[in-house]
Amino acid sequence: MNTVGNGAPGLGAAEDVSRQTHSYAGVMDGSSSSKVTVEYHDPSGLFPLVHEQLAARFPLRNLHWKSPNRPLRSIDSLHVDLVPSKDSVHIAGVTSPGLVPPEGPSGASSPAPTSTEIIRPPAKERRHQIPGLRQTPYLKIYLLRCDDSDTYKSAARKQLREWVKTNTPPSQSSSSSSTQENHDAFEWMILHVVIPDTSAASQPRGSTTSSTTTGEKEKSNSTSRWARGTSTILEKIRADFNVSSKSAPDRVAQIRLQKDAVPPHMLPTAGSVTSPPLTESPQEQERVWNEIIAKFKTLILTTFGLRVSQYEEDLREKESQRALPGWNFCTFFILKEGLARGFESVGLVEDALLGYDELSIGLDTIVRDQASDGSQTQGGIILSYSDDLYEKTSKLLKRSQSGNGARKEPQPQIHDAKPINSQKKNYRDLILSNNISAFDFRCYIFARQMTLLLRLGNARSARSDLAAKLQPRPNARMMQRSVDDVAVGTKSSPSTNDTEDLLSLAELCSRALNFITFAGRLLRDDLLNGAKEHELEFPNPLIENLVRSWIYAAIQQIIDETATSSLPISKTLKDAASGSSGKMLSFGSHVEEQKLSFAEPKTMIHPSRSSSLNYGRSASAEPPYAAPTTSGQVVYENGQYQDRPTLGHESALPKAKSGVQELAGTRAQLYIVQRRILESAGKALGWTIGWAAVLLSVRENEQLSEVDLDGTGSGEDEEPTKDKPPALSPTLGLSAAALVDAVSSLDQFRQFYEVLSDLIVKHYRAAGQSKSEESVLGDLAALKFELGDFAAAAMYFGRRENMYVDHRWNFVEATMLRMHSQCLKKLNRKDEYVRTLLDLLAKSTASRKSLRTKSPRISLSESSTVWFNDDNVNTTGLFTELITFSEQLPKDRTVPMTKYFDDIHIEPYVRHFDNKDGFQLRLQFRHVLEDEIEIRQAKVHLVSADPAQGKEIWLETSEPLHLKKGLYRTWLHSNINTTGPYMVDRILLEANRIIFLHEPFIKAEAITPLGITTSVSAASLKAAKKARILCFPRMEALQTRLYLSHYIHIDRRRSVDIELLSGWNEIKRAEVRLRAASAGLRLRTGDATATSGEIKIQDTPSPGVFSIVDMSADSNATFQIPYELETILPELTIKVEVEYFTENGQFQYHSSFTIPIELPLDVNVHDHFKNDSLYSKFNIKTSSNMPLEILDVGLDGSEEFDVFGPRRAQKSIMVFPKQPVSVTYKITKKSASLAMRRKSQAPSGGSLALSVEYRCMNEDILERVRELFASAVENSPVHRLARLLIATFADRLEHRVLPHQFEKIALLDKVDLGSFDDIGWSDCIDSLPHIIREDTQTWLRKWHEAHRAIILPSTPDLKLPIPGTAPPSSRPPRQIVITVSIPQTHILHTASLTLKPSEHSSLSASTTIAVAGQPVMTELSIKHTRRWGSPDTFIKAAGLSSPEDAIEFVYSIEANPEYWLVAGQRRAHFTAKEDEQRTFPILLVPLNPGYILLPNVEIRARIPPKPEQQRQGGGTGGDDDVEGEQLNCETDYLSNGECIMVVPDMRSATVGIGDMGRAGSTIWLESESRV
Amino acid sequence: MTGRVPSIACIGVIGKHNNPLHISLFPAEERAPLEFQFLLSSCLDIFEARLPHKTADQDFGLLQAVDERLAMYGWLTNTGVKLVIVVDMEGRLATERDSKTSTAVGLRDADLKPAFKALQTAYIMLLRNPFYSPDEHSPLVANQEQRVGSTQITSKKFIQEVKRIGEAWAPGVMNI
Repeated sequence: MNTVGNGAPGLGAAEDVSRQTHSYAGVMDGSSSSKVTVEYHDPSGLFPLVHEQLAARFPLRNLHWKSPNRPLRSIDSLHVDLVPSKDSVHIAGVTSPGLVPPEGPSGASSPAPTSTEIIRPPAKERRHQIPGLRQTPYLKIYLLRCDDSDTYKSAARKQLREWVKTNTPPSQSSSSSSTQENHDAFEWMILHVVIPDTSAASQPRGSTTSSTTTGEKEKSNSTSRWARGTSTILEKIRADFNVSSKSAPDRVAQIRLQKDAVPPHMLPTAGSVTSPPLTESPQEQERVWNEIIAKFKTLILTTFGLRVSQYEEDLREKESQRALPGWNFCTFFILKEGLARGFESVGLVEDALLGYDELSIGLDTIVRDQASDGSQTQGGIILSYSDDLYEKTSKLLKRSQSGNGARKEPQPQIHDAKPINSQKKNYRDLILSNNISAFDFRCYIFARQMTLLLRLGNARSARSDLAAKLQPRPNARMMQRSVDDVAVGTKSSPSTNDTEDLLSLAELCSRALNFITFAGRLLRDDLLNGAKEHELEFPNPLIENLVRSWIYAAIQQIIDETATSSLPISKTLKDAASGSSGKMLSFGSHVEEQKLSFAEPKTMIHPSRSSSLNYGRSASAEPPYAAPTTSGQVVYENGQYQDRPTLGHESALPKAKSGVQELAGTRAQLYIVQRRILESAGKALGWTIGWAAVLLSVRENEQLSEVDLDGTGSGEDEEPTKDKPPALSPTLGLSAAALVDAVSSLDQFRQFYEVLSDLIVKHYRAAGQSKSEESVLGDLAALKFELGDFAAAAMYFGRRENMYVDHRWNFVEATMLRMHSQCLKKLNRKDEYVRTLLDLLAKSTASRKSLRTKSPRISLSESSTVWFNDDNVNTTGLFTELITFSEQLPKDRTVPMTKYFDDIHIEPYVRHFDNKDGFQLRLQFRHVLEDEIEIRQAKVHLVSADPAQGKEIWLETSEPLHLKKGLYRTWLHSNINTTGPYMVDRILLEANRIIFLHEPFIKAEAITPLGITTSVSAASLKAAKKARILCFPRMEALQTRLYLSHYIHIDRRRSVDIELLSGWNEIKRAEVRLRAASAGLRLRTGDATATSGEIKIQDTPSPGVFSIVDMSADSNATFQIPYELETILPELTIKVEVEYFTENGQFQYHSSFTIPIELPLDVNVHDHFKNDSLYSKFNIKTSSNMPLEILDVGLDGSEEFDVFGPRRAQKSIMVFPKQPVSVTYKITKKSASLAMRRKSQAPSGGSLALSVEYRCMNEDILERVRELFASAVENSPVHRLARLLIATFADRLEHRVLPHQFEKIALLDKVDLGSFDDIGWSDCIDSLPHIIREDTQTWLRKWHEAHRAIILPSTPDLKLPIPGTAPPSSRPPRQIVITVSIPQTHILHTASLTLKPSEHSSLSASTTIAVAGQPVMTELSIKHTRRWGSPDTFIKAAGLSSPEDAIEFVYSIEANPEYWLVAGQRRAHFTAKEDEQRTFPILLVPLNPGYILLPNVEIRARIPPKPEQQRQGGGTGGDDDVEGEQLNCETDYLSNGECIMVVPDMRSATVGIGDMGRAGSTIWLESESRV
Repeated sequence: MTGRVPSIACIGVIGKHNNPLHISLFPAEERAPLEFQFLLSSCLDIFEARLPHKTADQDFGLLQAVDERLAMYGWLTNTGVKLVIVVDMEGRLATERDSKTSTAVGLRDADLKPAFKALQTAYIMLLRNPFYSPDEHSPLVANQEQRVGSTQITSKKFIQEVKRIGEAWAPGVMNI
């Protein structure tokens, strides 16, 4: 056992090494020790008796070490190694041959090794010049058996003295200033073992042990007390050996053994007992032991402190010599390492590690200096190569070159399964002899660091368990292996694993990562240098393989060492490496499962396909994520949970223990390196894997029609054999078992790669490092792809929440998309395939766009060389593929056009055809991709900017487009003929099943959370306005006009007229569609009639539609369509659509009209009845402040009535709001047919029609101005725009001329148009193409200059048309016919008051003169007629039985009593019949002279009071008749307004006149009365 | 056989939202872009993992040794932009001027510091350019605006500066 450390490890060294590391007996270098050695001197063979008790109290707990220049260190537990001193060994062997100490916890099953360990002497060692090599005891104990005081005095004291003398630590001998000695400083202690039944046992312990804890106190107490004399043995020993200095520790202790614990032969003879034994309670025993242990601790720490300070002093000295010549790093190293080991040995692992770290840096400096100086100036030489490595390699090379036969023999290897091992070589000796290579040196340091870290990682467990001291490494697997070797291991791993410090393990991993990768380079240099030194050259592949193999093995070692149960995945390694079936659960997270359930339906469509691709793999290797394609989801879940129950715990574990994530992360990184090694090994063989392989194949074969499904096929296998140099195997030098396996075949290679990747994924997942996980998953997916497992690959590629997508790793994303698309194609998932292609193309397009727009400075060529352009995606051929493939899609797929095309734009200017109606727009877009594609059709959808006119227009290309890279402009055609602003709603490009859609103005109605629609921002409105397309037809195009019919009969159904102007169209057939856009409007197209033109309505197939045929060019037709209104509306909105067919095809005309229907005039009638005739006065007013021009008024007679009107006016009459027109007509009944009429048509009475011909001034003026403008435009160079300009002009004019201005215009016959700017042409002009914009504007300006005011003469001046004179409207004036019913009155009395001529009164023809005071005889005559009333109403009203019955009336004379005195019957009843005339004499006395009106007469019917209330009524008008009408009784009082002159009653008067000028001189003389 | 000395294999500028802002490969034709993209993206995890333990220092030092040749070093700016340099330990042939220390000892974190500082300066210069809007290079904004494509920096000056840094750096070079 002892020899193992020196020998170079052989081929089968693995076992030896492991044994060696686990045998704690490797004291010589003590690499694995974590304990201090305590030597005991046992002349009496007492050790077996106390060993059990002592061992039970080890390890020492809670040591606190305080050194002057360090912070306080706590050592939780410290193992103590009890070693017999040299001379005591044989004593023990002699004295107690059969004495086998009771076994400790290490178990009784294997006593032999344990006992040998205990008894085995410490290894002899040569005292070396460099201290620090030895594991010398920290404490020496003298086990004293002294049964009584006499013996002590006689023998024991002497023995003790001798022993103390030989073993006095140098530090305590005052003379020793040699610091050298302190390297092995130790303390000593005397342990008095009291055997029961001896006199010593009967001695009291005294009160000294009562409560003291520290040695010093006890000592001071005891010395003072025991100075008195009668002392026990213990006190004597103390007195003799304890130094009386206060600071010195107590070195004496005593234990009493129980009788049963002592073998009989050790007991003294029974008779020797002098006093009864002092029995001790167990508590007391416990206390005693604690005391001893406390002393142990103190003394060990003292020793330790001494040693450390000694080392530090040495180091300082050495350090200060650094600059001196001859300074040797190696020496320094050994010295410093001694310190580190010292720390390690007391369990201060961190300090030890720190020491090694410092050493490592020191080595760096040395190496650096050496490298920079190029020679070995100082610090010793670090060799540039290792001899043994060189030898082995050259052996290897020779062997391989010697012939194939030799290969059967085991190859020499430069490393074994554990390349990092501090005991592989005798590194320390090499270091001491300055004969170590940099590689070895570093390996050694790292190996030590690794050991320390591993110890740290599992430190507590290592100490807490005595058994664990035999297994210093925490590795669970190692433990199991060590069972055979060390025969210990009943303490199983679970308890130890709980206490692992994962952070330390993680630290180890990350250090290992850095070291191993670095050491790999060192190894390579080492090999190269070695070859160079021997003037050889190793073949490069060999070196590479050696390096790879070493790195791989080293990492594998680390991974194995750091496997822990806290990280379940780490334990699967061994199984995984063997490639068993259950380990390929790479995607098995829950997220993945959900994805699977998504994907399932699609994969189920083609199950045969996906499963057929799997044959290349063994069934057992089927990953679970492939399962859903063949079996259901549930099976998969079951399978998962059955197979790997630990998987569910994974997520919970990372939280459970700190450091798990770190450990997992670093382990994953280690695996990554391993995998890269594997990749590079594969590459050396010509195998590519993962992305490299896939990309290669993608590049080679764009369509991937030949993915190598059977990747194991011969094709690839032959490659390496071709490439390799003739004599050298490409795998030569690979010795890591797994790696050798992996490169044995491509299949193995891939499988191994997958296993590794799988492990990495799991580790990353456990570490929570999603991005790394993602990238490895990507590798796996690429591998799957390569293997032909497209379903699995698609699963991964299809994830949309991919980090690369989210964070715009464009290139990665694009590559993945590409792969995904190919997977999908293979899987025949057409929809997804297309979607993926589209995504890919979108990326490509975006990059092209940005290249084009953003930075033209960066040319493509430049970007590819200088930097990595993330945007650079090559999608050549994909567009074509997409378009072609889309045929297979079940339905159209709409995609945003902007993603695939650039510069999409519609020129907002219409262009007209030269020979037909309709218009064209130009669509422009840029195809930025390389592929040539064919667009079946391009379409543009226009919607009206005016929401009321919601007609849409589709424009289309006539033929397919072939797109190449570049800008495209194409004309889109429409057969629609309309006017108004439109907006581009959608642009469509159709290519097979792919439809590219662009919506320039997305409804920007931002909806707030509350659902309130905010208004569109001003900017977007402006943009929309700019892109507005003003549609207008050609001048020659078909046109319609809709207006209210000029003829309105007030009582009949009104109608609208639609006028159709065919323009240049020879219309074969046309269908006119009218749609009411006003609520409650019903258009009776069924009753439509043609009013002018030769065209007749052909058919009215459905409501709202009528059709005509054969309308020639330049003709017009007017149709009248009656309408009805449910509610009264001020205006009607009607949409007109005409679909017409000409030789050029089908066309459509759209327009919408809004026409006012309110009548502009009011007519009032005043009627006055006469006996024979009726006078009606018609008052015509405007109803809307708008002047009217009345051209003609007429009242036509009817069959019943004759009408006599005034002569018609020559000129039209203007009606202003404040100036109505009135016309009076006389109406008489035609007497002839009176009787007959009465019978037939009585109730309606007669009604007459008043017809008024008029023009509304606004209509008229606007029309005339428009006409003027239109004629000007039509003869101008801008006539192409006529429709647009005229429409705009009319619209602007209407808004410009305010209603109140019309009055002025009507009076002045002049319209003030204002300037060009006033009209507001800018909007219109802006929507014109640039070329004609200028011209149009100039022309319009000119026109406006010339037509600031337009004269509107009412009569055409044909002779000399003044420019700027609008001719009268050609339109027929409006005519309204108002039915005027003849008012009904039942009874008419014509009353007259005539003066009877008397002889007294002078009668003159002209004036009646009456004399005041003289009565005037008058006669009231009343003529009664019932002619104006219909008889039956009369009967009803008057309550008569027959029309001829007389009715009773009352007349009353209303005379002003101031003027008239009425004599006679002022009021009288009379009855009257038809045409009866009654006269009543009335005597009137005028009272005052002057012109006096005759009194008024009122006649009222006196309806006889009848029992029925309803019969009442009549002229009195007092009661309202509910049922019927009142009895109307009109009176035509002829004498109304007649005056008579009343004069005083004097015929002559005589006046005498006296003196002139005197008052009172005039004297009334005489007068003569008239009568 | 002449030794090979470390050189920069790849410089990655990665935005706050883990989006690649710029990636340069040295020499571009020899490096597989995809491989380096994966490397860069996975090293972001290390940034994240170490961030809680970091205080003011922006230098993340060695992030990860990828294999015996490649090693990744990281640097974080105050604005969350990550600079990553991938060093190829045997990137190019040694010339007379190159010191041999690095091959023997390996790189120290301090060796990369000048390169990082120069990169940061270059980035700051880029930010100073009023025509460079960092928002345009944020994936969040791009997602909002539904822009497709990457968010990389296209400033020619910056790219050239990065190129210069990548080529100028060598172990021991203090001023780049």
